[in-house]
Amino acid sequence: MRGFVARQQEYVARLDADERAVLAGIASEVGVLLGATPFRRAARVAQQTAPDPQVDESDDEDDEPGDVLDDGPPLSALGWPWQRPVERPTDSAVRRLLPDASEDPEQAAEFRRLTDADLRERKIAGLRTWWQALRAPGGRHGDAVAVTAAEAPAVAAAMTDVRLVLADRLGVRTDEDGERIYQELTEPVPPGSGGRDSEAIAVRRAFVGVYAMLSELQETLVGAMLEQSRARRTSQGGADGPRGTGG
Amino acid sequence: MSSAPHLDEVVASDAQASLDAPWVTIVWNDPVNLMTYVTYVFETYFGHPRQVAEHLMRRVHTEGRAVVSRGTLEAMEVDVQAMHGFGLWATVQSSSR
Repeated sequence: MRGFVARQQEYVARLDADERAVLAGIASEVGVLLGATPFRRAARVAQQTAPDPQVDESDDEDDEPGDVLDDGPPLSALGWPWQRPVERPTDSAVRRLLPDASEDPEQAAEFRRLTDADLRERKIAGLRTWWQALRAPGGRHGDAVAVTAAEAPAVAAAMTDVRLVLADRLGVRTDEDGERIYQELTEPVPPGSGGRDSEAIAVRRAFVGVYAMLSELQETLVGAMLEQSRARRTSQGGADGPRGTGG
Repeated sequence: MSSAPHLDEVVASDAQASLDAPWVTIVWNDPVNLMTYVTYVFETYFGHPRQVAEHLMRRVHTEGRAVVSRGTLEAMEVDVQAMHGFGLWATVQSSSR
């Protein structure tokens, strides 16, 4: 892996086929957590009407037996009637992606009712954009993952969403947990742990590895975006209006 | 054609703003979001200069939370929703609390 660097109107990282497949699979799974159809399945349906030669069909990352909502429409497509209360998510990771907006339960419920569908839709769209970038690598070595300047904010947000879900599953609760987790990658396997134990350690380590990779990708992407946005503001004399580029 | 407002107009509108600003948006610390990303959100969404954005980011990190905007309930709800869109955990709260 090589992190993102700015190139003309886009940001480019280099990721090998395994890295791309694992990141695309997790992006799709987070989309499913938010109510989306698995991205590869959705792309296949779309492809039947408009074939997209850029979509790489070589792996089956979405076709896991654990996929729910296989044949149903995405929840957001059901058109939430605005009068209906929206349940607080029971999954702690989804609750972190769509948190309570107030300590007052009544106000939080009202906010959720008004914003839940829109937030889910935006997050799913960002995750799908990231997934598509991972599925259509280019460059001389076919390992260049490019995100346009217009796509970058949504992709950076999608990376946060995936990292939030991974962190929830890995039990990261405090800043110390967040710092310590990277050390797990280099720690020796505790002696005497064999069989199922070492398998569990290997699985956890794989997910920590993905988390670390996403941290690096997000850091380099956002670093490059900030550099460009600061250069732009300086050349405009700092005339960027507030709340101008949200979303 | 427009001109810069006179000082007394600015003072009056500031006083009006605080009367109209009974609500605040609070961003809470979390162990996942990168400092660079939080700074990026504060710079690009709120339009803060780099120093202000970094100050607010550090405040969230060290104190666990920071007030990032003030205004009407409707305006704060827009900000909170935007923060949730970015993956930051934000809440709206009455500023008198």
